[in-house]
Amino acid sequence: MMDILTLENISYCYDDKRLALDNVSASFRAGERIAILGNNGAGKSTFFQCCNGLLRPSSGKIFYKGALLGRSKRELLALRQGIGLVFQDPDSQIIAGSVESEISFGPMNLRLPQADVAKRVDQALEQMHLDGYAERAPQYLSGGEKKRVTIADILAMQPELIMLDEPTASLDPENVAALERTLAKLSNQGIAIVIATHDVDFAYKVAERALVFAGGKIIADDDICEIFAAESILTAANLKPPLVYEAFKALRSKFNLDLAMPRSIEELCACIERI
Amino acid sequence: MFIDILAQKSRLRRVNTVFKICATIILLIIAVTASHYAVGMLLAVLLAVLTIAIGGLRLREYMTALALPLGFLLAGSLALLFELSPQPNGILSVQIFSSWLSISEDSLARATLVASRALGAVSCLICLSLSTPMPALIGALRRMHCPELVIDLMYLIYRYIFILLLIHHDMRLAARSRLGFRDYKTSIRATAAIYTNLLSRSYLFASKNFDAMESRCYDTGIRFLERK
Repeated sequence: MMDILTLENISYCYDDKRLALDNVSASFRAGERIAILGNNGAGKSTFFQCCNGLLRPSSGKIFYKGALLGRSKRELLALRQGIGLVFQDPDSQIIAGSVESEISFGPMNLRLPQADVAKRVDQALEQMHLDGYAERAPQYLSGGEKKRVTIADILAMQPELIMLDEPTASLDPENVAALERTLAKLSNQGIAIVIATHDVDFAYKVAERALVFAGGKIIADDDICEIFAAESILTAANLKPPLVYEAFKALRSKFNLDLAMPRSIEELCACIERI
Repeated sequence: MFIDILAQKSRLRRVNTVFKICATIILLIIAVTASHYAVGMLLAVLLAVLTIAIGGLRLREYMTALALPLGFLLAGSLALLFELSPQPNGILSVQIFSSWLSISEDSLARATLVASRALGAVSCLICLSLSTPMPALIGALRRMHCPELVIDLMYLIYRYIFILLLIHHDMRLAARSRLGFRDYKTSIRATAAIYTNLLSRSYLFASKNFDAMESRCYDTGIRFLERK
C-alpha cells in the first residue's frame, strides 16, 4: 500500500537554537493506527505541525502521497486538506458561532460549491453523532461535545490521515470510550489515525504501531507490543507499560500461558476465564 | 452573555436577518425623529410585545436586558428635566443657595420627548439583539457588503468574548481560593495579576487559534456555510 505521508530526515529548530526535532524519519500508510508516545517537550507537537505544513522543517524532505512537498501554496493547501490536525484544546480550534458554521469552515476554505459544503457538513455531523447540534453555539457545549465538533471539523475536510493531539485529555471515561469507537470506525474507512498521547492504556488499546519520541528524536518505531516489551526504550522515554499489558505479563509467567496478548480489560478478563 | 443566551432561544431568530436589520434601521429613524412622545412609547410597547409574545421570551428576561439602558436613560432625562433659574418658575422649584432648581412645562415636555425617543430607539436595538444571534447578524452584514476585514474581526471578537470570559472566571476563582481577595490590598494585586495574565494568555491563544485556522486551509477571509 502506498504511503500517505513520508518524512525524511526532518529537523526543526526554534529560535533558541535548541533542536525540537532532530533528524526524524517516519512514514504513515492508509488505515494505520499509530500512537506517538513521549514526554512533554519530546517534540510531538512540533512533529505534528511539520506533518500538517504549519511549520516548515529547517532541513529534510516531506513526501505527500509520493510527491515531494514544494513551497507552493497549492501544495501546502493540498497537504493541509489531506492531513487533518485535531488540536488538544477544542477552544483553540473552534472559531465559529455555531456548530454547523464551525464544521463548514474547512470545506469553505477549500472553495467548494455551497451544496458540496452542506453535504460534507451533514455527513460530518452524522458521523460524529452531532445530529441536532447544527445550530448550537460552541460556548454552551460540554468538553466531550466540543471534542466531537473538532473531529467533525477535520472529517469535513475528507482527509486521508488524522492527527490527534492528546485527544483523551479532559475527557471523561464515557467520552474516551466513544472516542475509541469513532477512531476504530474511521480506521475501518481507510483513514490513517495518528494519536499523540501520554495515556499508554489508551494508546495500547487503539494503536497497532507506536513511535516513541525522546529529546526530539524518534527512538523507536515498531509494533506497540514490541515497544512495551523493550525495557531500554521505556526507560529512555520515561514510559510505563499499560496496566493490561503488565497484568497479563504477570499472569503469563505465573501460569505459563500460551495466549495472544490482550489489548483491553475485556480481553484480559477473557484470558483469566480460560486459566 | 445573557443577551446571547436569550437570542439563541428566541423564536424570531429564523426570521430573515437582513429584513430584521432593515426594519430596525427604519424603526430607529422613526423613533429618533419622532415629534411626539407617544411614538417612542408606542414603539417600546409594540416591540416588547413582539419580543415576548412572538419571540417567546419571559417578561422578566426582557426587563433584565432592558434594565441597564433604561437606567442610563432615566438618569439622562432627569438632568434634562431640571433647569437652573434666578427665580422660582414652572411646576416645581427647589431653592439651592441663591438660585432655583425648577421644572418648567417646557423642560418637562423636552425631557419627556427625549426620553421617549431614546426609549423607542433602545427598544429597537434590544429587539434586534434579543431576536438575532450574533453570527447570523455578522453573516447578514457580509451579504450587505460590509468590508471583509470588519466581518472577520467581528467573528473573532464574538468567539473571544466567551473564551476570555471563561479564562477570566477561572483565574478569579483560582485567586479567590488562595485568599487573593481577602482585603483591599490583595484584591488590587490579584486583579492586576489576573489582567496581566489574561493579556499574555490571549496572545498565546490567538497564535494557537491562527495555527488551527491555517491547518484547515485558511487563506483570506473567514467564510461559513449559510443555508438558505
